[in-house]
Amino acid sequence: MTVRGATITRRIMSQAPDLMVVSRHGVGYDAVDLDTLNERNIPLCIAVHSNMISVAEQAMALLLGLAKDVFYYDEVTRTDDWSARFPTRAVDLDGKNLLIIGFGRIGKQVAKRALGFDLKVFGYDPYVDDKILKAANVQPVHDFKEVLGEMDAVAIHCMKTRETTNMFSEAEFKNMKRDAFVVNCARGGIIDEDALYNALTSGEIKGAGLDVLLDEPSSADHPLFSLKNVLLSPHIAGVTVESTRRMATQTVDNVLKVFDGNVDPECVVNQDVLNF
Amino acid sequence: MATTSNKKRVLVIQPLHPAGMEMLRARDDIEIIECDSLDENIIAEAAKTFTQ
Repeated sequence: MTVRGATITRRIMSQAPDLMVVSRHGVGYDAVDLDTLNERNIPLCIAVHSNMISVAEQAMALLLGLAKDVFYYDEVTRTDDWSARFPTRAVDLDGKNLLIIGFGRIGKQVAKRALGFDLKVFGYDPYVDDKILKAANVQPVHDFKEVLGEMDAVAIHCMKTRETTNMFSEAEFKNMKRDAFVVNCARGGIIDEDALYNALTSGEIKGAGLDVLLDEPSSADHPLFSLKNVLLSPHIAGVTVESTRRMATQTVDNVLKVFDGNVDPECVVNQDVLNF
Repeated sequence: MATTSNKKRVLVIQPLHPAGMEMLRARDDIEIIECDSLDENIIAEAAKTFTQ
């Protein structure tokens, strides 16, 4: 079966005793009952290569939008308020320090783009060898808290786990530069939203770009929505015209490869089942 | 409804981009079952077709 937004429960899968594969349209799989699949030795495939470029571009868009204060300047231009051109608000990314949290497929793509803007790129990922970061011209960081005070921007691209939940909270924001930006295109909840609100309103950091929120769909009265130094998108970083096509074709390709007996292990979440 | 088909059945839950559907339709050994719903009961019912 191919799955987009639906929750695939044990009960659903129990109706299909001959089920051979579940193929997710995307890379997240928290809505699929993995335990059931493991018990039955059924592979769970994901479209690993489909949206990494789209997410990386959105992270850069949010970062650029914040640095250039795109929405502020758009608004003052439309309202004929050219006096608002000064004092200067926009900053350059050139030469600034960017810390990427999570150096998987998406983090690598962000690094590539950030280096193109002549940012100095640092990477924190305790599960990735330093050699991989260095090969991408990224300086490995082993304790992200130690370098936060030197970073001009942080881009979050790690998975949400117990370890990363509220990874950015009160203490982390207090350690950041007052003109720093934070961008999250990973999962809501990696940033503590109450702490972020306080950091943004007290001036501990300058701005935030968020594609994800703890509660989705969000409600219009979310406190962060009242802040002008927050740029938002509704969890669409990975969804573009091109990625939608890529997701569909890879989702189907994963099914066909299981049928044909030549599954790509890189696309399988529960690779242990391939040994059966 | 019973079927005598020996084709492999692919349950497509929520529509896919036409390019993905075209890949499935290009295979003569595959039967496509579409289920445009997020409801567990409806999906479970559709999943039964694997056994028919």
